Formats: sequence, structure tokens, C-alpha cells
Amino acid sequence: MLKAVFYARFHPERGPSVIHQYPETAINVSTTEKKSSLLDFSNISSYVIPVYELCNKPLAICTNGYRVLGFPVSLEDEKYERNRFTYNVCFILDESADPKPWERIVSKTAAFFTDLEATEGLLQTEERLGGLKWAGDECYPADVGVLYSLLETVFFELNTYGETCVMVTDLHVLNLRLASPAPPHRDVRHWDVPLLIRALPNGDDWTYDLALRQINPHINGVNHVQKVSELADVDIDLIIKTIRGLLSHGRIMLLDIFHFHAIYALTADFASFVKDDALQEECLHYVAKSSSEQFPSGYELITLYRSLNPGVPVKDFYLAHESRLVNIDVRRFITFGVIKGFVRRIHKYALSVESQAISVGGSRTSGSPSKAVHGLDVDADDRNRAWRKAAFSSGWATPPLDPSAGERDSGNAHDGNTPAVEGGTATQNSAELLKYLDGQHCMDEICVALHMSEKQVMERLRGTEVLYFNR
Amino acid sequence: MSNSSVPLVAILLIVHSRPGPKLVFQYPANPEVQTPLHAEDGQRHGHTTGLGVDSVQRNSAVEGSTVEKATRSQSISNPTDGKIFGLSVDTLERVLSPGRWSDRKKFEVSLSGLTFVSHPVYADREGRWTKSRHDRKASPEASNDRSSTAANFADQSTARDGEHEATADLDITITEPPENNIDFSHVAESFESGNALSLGVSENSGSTTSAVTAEPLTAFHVLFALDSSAPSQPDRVNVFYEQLAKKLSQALTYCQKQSSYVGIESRRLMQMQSRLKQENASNGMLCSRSIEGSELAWALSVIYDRVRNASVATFRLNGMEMSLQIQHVEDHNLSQCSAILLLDDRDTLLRELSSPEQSPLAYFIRHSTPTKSLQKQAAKLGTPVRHLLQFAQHLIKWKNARAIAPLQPRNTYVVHPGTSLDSLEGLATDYASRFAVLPSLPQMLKILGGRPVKYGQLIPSRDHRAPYMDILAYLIRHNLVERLSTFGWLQTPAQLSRRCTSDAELNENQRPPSVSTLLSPLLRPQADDDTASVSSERTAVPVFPGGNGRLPAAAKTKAGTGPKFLPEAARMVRDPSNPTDDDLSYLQCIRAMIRDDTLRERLPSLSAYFDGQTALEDIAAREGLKRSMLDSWLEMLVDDGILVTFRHV
Repeated sequence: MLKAVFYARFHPERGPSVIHQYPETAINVSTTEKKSSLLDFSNISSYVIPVYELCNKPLAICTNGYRVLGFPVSLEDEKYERNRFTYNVCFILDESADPKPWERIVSKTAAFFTDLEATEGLLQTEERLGGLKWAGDECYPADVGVLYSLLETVFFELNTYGETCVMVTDLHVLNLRLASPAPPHRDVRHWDVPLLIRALPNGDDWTYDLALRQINPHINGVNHVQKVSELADVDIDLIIKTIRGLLSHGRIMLLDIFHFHAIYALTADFASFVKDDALQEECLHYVAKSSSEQFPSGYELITLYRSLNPGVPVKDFYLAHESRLVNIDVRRFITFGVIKGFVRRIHKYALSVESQAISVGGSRTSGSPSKAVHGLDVDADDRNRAWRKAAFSSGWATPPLDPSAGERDSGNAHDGNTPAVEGGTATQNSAELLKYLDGQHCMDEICVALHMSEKQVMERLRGTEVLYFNR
Repeated sequence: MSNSSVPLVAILLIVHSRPGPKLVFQYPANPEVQTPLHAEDGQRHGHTTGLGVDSVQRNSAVEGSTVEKATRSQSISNPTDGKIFGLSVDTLERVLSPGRWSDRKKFEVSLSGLTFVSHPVYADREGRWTKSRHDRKASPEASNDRSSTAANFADQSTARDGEHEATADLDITITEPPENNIDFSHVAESFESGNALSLGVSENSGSTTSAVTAEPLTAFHVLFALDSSAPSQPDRVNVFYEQLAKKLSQALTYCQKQSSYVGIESRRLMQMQSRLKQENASNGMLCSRSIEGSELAWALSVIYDRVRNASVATFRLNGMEMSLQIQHVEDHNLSQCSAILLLDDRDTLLRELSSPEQSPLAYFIRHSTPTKSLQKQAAKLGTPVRHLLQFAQHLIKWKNARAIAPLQPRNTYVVHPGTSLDSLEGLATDYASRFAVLPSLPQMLKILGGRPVKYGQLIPSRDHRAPYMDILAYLIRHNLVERLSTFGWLQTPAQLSRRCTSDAELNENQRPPSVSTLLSPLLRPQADDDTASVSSERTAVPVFPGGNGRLPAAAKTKAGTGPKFLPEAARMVRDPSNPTDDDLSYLQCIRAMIRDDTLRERLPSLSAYFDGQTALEDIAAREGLKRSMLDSWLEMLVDDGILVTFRHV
């Protein structure tokens, strides 16, 4: 809520002075008498009209429980006395109110005033009008000039409607709108799956972005960003930019890649899903196959969702509940939970132990209880590592990560399911793969980046010291 | 525990005297608006744009002679141009010097993406820091005492009487360098200038901007510069004001009143500045020398470094110890059922205590264990639990401990969804040195990041229990793993209705035990005389009017007369703390089905936990039950289809 708005300038004789303010008694401009007002101008005059170095950028000061947002402007021209004209249009808020949404309004107003002065000399002209009263004068305000009524309109309309449109001259229209800057969205990544949550306007009625027009048919909640880029033949950076725009307008959501090896788990929000009959109803309509004659009950949905456990991939979940899932589209079943936030994807990460294990090698002496307990194939690992270590230290050629990897790759190339990985590029690919093994990159990312399936990646990594963990 | 979201950019000390405001000290020397990747141990190795003066000279580290050498060597090639945050020092001093209206109030000004917040303190109109009543009374004595007072002001900090207070405010005109008597341990041996502190320096440096004057201090404030370009968090500035600026300012005011502390320290800093500026020293050098030479500058640098790392700053002002930090409000989950997880080694914490031998806190630290709730520990140590809660609160407040659910081998732990593996390499080494013959850290992460299993199943033998629990505590302490908790609701199983309806026709002795219990005549409709109010389709579960307790045997004769309509599908009691009439009848029905007598007895008190929001793992501690017994009960409930569960971290 705007408490007051005022226009002040540096006057060659009077010094920093308030010319107009609304409400009329918001600021006490008198230095001698104490009036009931929001604040004393004398306290903050050096912040309203600061030194030149601080002009032409925003400057805000708090005093007396209020926050004064200003944007002091200093224009330099020979036509002005002392070759300078310094003024500020300030907005006063409660100190506890969030100033962020107002910052752009303040700077836009400052730019508007600058424009008024630069093109029409309006600010200076108004002061020469006969009968103009300054704030604090007797009989203020006089019905002279446009600035007082401008401030009045801005004050009223911003407080009432959150926006304002004031026409000062035919050419000068001040449009202001109070809007909180959108919270920053997380980065759009190549392996995110965009899903429209509000339909885009019809392309015939509305001309939108060429990239958006191009990718629109491919955004279906299944294709990931990189795939959309490939299908639509649009540069991926353009797509990311477009999706970011849609995100900020709340028209799109980012999901993960759905596949049957993926693991999903519930979140604490599941409790509210269980209590919310309307949400269950919505879910029923979303997940039921169109061909199905019989809708599952809300209780059945709850039972199915409850069976999602960390550690159980969708494949196993499906097999275990096949009969119950007859009428349910599993992808939509999972996606609904993800959209509503009561299901979350557990990503698989790969961590190469090479760098880690060598530093902690001492902990893996034979006979440690871990081996017996966890049944890890430590012997093979040890052999492998010893061999690789010997290879590195003796200057042999870098041992292949997996002798059979090349063959498998060429075999895969013939499947046609995934983009071909030629045997020749396998080594290069492996080198690239190594970059992703720091535990920071999830398997989806690796697969999308290398155009490989999870199975292929795992096979490529077989025999190397890589730990997989879900989180 | 580097925290990149801390918006603190710099700390500035500005003092006022008659000639005008003066920026006496700023830290770091070259403030960066973006947060460096790692801000640890006082080293800045960010790669961001310096807003400060000599952006080439980044390492404004404070400690050790090597750093000093480095700054010295760089300083020659980096003369200052006198700009801070892109503004001239003069402008900055002016804009950061509010009038007397801001005296002992919050001062906040925002410019070019930065917000400065402080708590300015002014001397009274006559320039005095203490009350004039004392002044008048003690002044004759004070004038005699003047020279020695100046030299002994450190001792004065303990003196509380009016006499000394009065002399303190006369100290502003001291002529003796007082630093010989100051007890602060960090003063570098290289600090070479006892005599340079004499006010004569101002004469030599008359041409520089930092002429040192003997003008009395009229006001001072320590400003915290915060990055305000980040998305809006209206409370954030207030947090810095309330928890840092105001508290520090109050402490400094006390020191200033006691012994002109701020006046003396700032004069010392100004003298150092003017001397070093004459030598053409760089900002970084100026900064590091100031920190070595002034206790106040040192304190400000410690505050900056610690707050940036989201840890506690402990420093001395006028020889008195003080601690400051930005507190987080997240640790409200402390109760007598929580355990305390120390965030540092026991020995390190004990060393930090002033009297590690006797104090009860030390006793608590020595005996605290993350596997036992405070309640149990209180019983074991023979201390009232409220004392332990106080100790725990204290440790949590100062970021030495965290309240957790007691660690239990019966619980399941999984890799924390938000685990950052940035520092894994360092952790792995540290881990290896602690748990040398146990599975390595990556191995543990692999196991806990796989299919969830009870932690106890990883422990190979009884002897391994203690070290494995230590490992778990270590993993939790570093936010690597988290408990996978189970939540649930009670329900009347689906088959119940079918069996019940058919059973109704059977002879009583042919019924399966659980159902016979249910249908046993012990149960009657809740609203005995008002069956119309109970919807026949949904809620005709037989209910005994009393609600709890054993049922009279005489009721058995009514066996066949109870209502036979039972829920077709399973009915969940979704909100047991606000049960509907239906829910009450379900609960009654459920209770009747329970095979275990003790559990049946206790069900009314336990049912509130089955709300989908309370971790079932916590019930035992809250109810003072044996965990193994509770687990077997829960297992039985699940087997009977009465309890449905789900899990999440």
C-alpha cells in the first residue's frame, strides 16, 4: 500500500524542496514546526536530492517506520541555473512492506518525468506558471499545472487497482503496473520434459514466437527438451529460452523422463492427497484409460500410490499390480502425482570411485566386514584396479574401460532404437561418459547427453569402479 | 558449512567527529557482490566481479604471514583509486551518515543493488558518551586521573562505578598510545608501531584525505552491506539488523561508554591508514594490517567470515568475549523425544568450554548420544529432562548440535535427496581416518542409495553395532543420509464386510477368531436408540456405546441381533484426531479385530498417530514403549490389513 508520493527538486535558492506531494500533508516540509505527518523532509532531504554521483540510479532510505523509494535524476544542461536540474519522484511505503514490486514503478516514473522535461521542458515550465503553490505553502495545492493531479491519480489508482494510466499530453502517457517480479525458475535442462498445463492460444488468433509455433506440436509431456529440439529441428537454446518464457507465465511445467526403470517415491504431500476427495476424483479422470469401462475407486488409487516405494522401479511396480492397473494409464498415473507434488522421482546417480577410492584405499583391506556383509564383488574390483594402476604407472596405453563395450555398441547401432553410436566413437564417448561420473549428474542427463539408454550406459560402465546410488 | 545464500557483501565502520564522517574500516578489502564458491578459512577464492578498488588483488585473506607477504607483493602494482562499490569514499561516507534522527534506531539505505543496514549511536549533544550526572560528580578526580586512565582503560572495562565511567568519556583527548595494555592475543608480532600511534601522525599526513585528528567521536555505526539484487526476502534485512547490527552496536556502545573503545580503535585505524596510504599500500594490505593492529577490525573481519560461512562468530571487544550469528528458526522440533547430534567432535566442543571439567554442559556433551532420546538420557544421567532440553537448546542455538530423531538400527536410512557431493572427496578422507577398517564412505552411500533396508541389517555383528551407529551419526551430521519414515492410517479391511455378512448366518463357534471378536455381541450400534442417524450403507459397523473398555459378557447373548451391514470396501480413518461418527465406528470395529490384548487396550491412545503425518518410527519414543514390541504390533496390524502405510523421507 502506497502511503504517499512526492516530487522534490533541488532549488538554486531554496535548496532541496518538495514541490508536490499527495496526500498534501504526508511530508513535513517545514523545518521549524512539528506537524503530524509521515516524516520530516529535513531528515531525508540529502537522500532525496543526493550528490551527483548517486543520481540517475535508485536510492531508497528508511526513516520513521517508512521506506522512501526514489530515483534521483540530475539533468545537465546550460539552460538550467547552475547548469543542472536535479529532481526526484519518491514513493513512500511502510517499512515492513516489500519494496521489490515498487522498484520498477519508481524507475519508470523517473524515466517518464525525465522524458517530460527533455522533450517539453514541462517540469521547469510548470514552476513558472502563475499561482503555483509549493507543498507547505498556504493554500497548497493550487489548481495549476499537471504534476499535482498526476501524482494524485498515480496514488489513487495504484492503491485501488494496482495499475494506472495517466495521459499528460498526447505523447506522454504514464502506464504503471504493480507486479511482483516472478520468482526465479530453476534452469531448464536438456532432459526436462515440458508439459503444457494451460493451453496456448490458437495460432490463428494469436501470432506467437516462431520457435514456439515450431515446437508446440512436440510438447506432449513425454518428449524431453533435447528430443523436442531434434523433432522440431529447432536450436536447443532457443527452445530453452521459449520454455523459460512459458514457465514464467505459468503455462508449462517441467517433468522428468518417464520410463520403466525410473523409481518414484511418495512425498509428505501424499497425506493431503488421501484426505482430498476432489483431488482423487480429478486423478481418476486423469489416469483412467479412455477405453476403460470401469473407473478405479479412490481407495484403489491410494493403494496403488502407496505401493510406490523408493527402490522399486516402475517396471516392478507394474508387474506387481498388473491386474489392478488394467484400467489405468501408468504414465499418467505417475505424472499426476509428480504434477501435484505428492510423487517425486528418485534419480540414479553414478559416482566413479577411482578418485574417491584411492584416497580411502586403506579402508578396503581384505577381511573388512563390509565384503562379507554386502556381498560386493570386491575381488574383481581389486584385480581390475591393480591392473589399471599398473597400466597407468608403466606407461602402457590407457586400458579400455570395458573390452567388450565396443562390440556391444556396434550391436546396438543396428537396433535403430537409439541414435547410432559407431564403434569408432566409442572411446570418445567413453571419455565423455567419464565426465558425468562425479555423482552430480543423474542417469537421465547422461542418457540424453550421450544418446544412450540407461542399460547401455550401465553396460558401458560394467567392470569399472562406479557406484550407483538413488536419491 | 559454506552457505552461498548469505547476502552479506561487506562490513563497514563509519565514525563521526566534528570534521565529518569517516570510513575507518571496511572488510573485505575488495567486496564482491556475487558470492564466491567457497568462502572458508578466511580465504576468498571467488571468480566474480570485484566492485572494489583493485580487482586484481583478490586474496584479501587475513591470517598468517604468508598472506601478508602476498598482499605486500601485489600492493605495489595496484595503487588505489579510492572507489568502493563504484562510489568515491567521500560520497559513500556521506550517504552512509544519517543525521541524529537515526540515533539508536534502524538505519537502512539501498543504492545500486546494495542495502546498508546499521544501528547508529550518537553521543549526547555535548559530545559526551556517559551521563552528565556522573560527569559533574567525578570530574575533579577524573582530571587527576586522566593520563593513567588512558593507559589502563582495559582494566576499566570491569569497573562499574561512576567515577571510572566519568573518566572514560574524557579519554577522547588521550595523548598516550594505549595498546600496550590491551590484551588481545591476535596482535601480530610484526606490528611495529608503538610510537606511530601518537597523534603526531596527523601532521605528516595533512595532505592525505585521512588526516587523523584528535576530534572527539560524536557517533559511530557498523554497517552491514547486503546484496539486495536477489529476489525479495523482506525479512532478511531485519534479520541482519536484529541479530548482528543492533547487538554489535549495543556492545560497542557499552565499550565506548566504559573506555572510549570505539574512539581509540578508530583513531588507531585511521593512523594506520594514513601511514600506509603514504607508503602507497593497496587496499588489501591496508585491510590486513588493520586487522592485525586493531581488535575491532579483527572482530569485524571475523564476523564477516563467519556469517558468510553460516557459522558463529566469536571475538573480543575490549577484551570481553562476544558471539554473534544469524540464527535459523528451523530447529523447533526439539522435544524430549529427540536426540542430540553433536555437529563437531566431542573433544573440540569440550575444549571450547571455559571450564570443561565441572560444568554441567560439559557433562551433558560428554554423555550425549544420538541414539537415545533426551528423556532416556535424563533417566540415565539422573538429571531432570528440562535441564537437558536447556543444554540441547543452547547447543542448537550456537550451531553445535542438531535435534534429530534418535538413531535406531531398526530404522531405514537412505541417501538424502538434497545431498551435495561437492565435498565428498574431503569427507571420504576424513571418514577413512575415523572408520579405518569399516566400509568406505562411497560404499556406504552405495548401499544406502540402493534398495532401502533397515540399517540394522548392514551391521554384521553385535560388536559392530557401536561403530556402525557412529558411521550413521557421521552420515547424518553431514547431511548425506536421512531416515526413510513410515506413515499410515488405520482401516477396516475390505474382506471384513464380505466375511461379516456371510458369517452372520454361521454359528458363532464356526467363525474365525478375529471376525468373531468383531461380530461378537460385545458390539452394538453406537446410537443404540437412533439407528436412523447412522447411514445404513456406510456406517453400520457394530459399535459398543461405551467406546472403550471390556464389554460385558451379558451382551454376548445379542450375537445375532447386531446390524449386519458392513462397509463394502475398506474404510480408512483418514483424520483420527478429528474423527467423524463414521470414523468412530470404524475405529471401534478395528479395535475389536485386534488380536493382541495389550495393543487393543492401548489403541485409543495410539490411533491419533495413524494420521499419515506422524512417523510410526517415533511412536515408541513418544509413548515410552519398547521399540521391538511396537514394531511387532505394527507388523501384526499390517498383516491383518488394519494398517496401511506409505514411506517417504
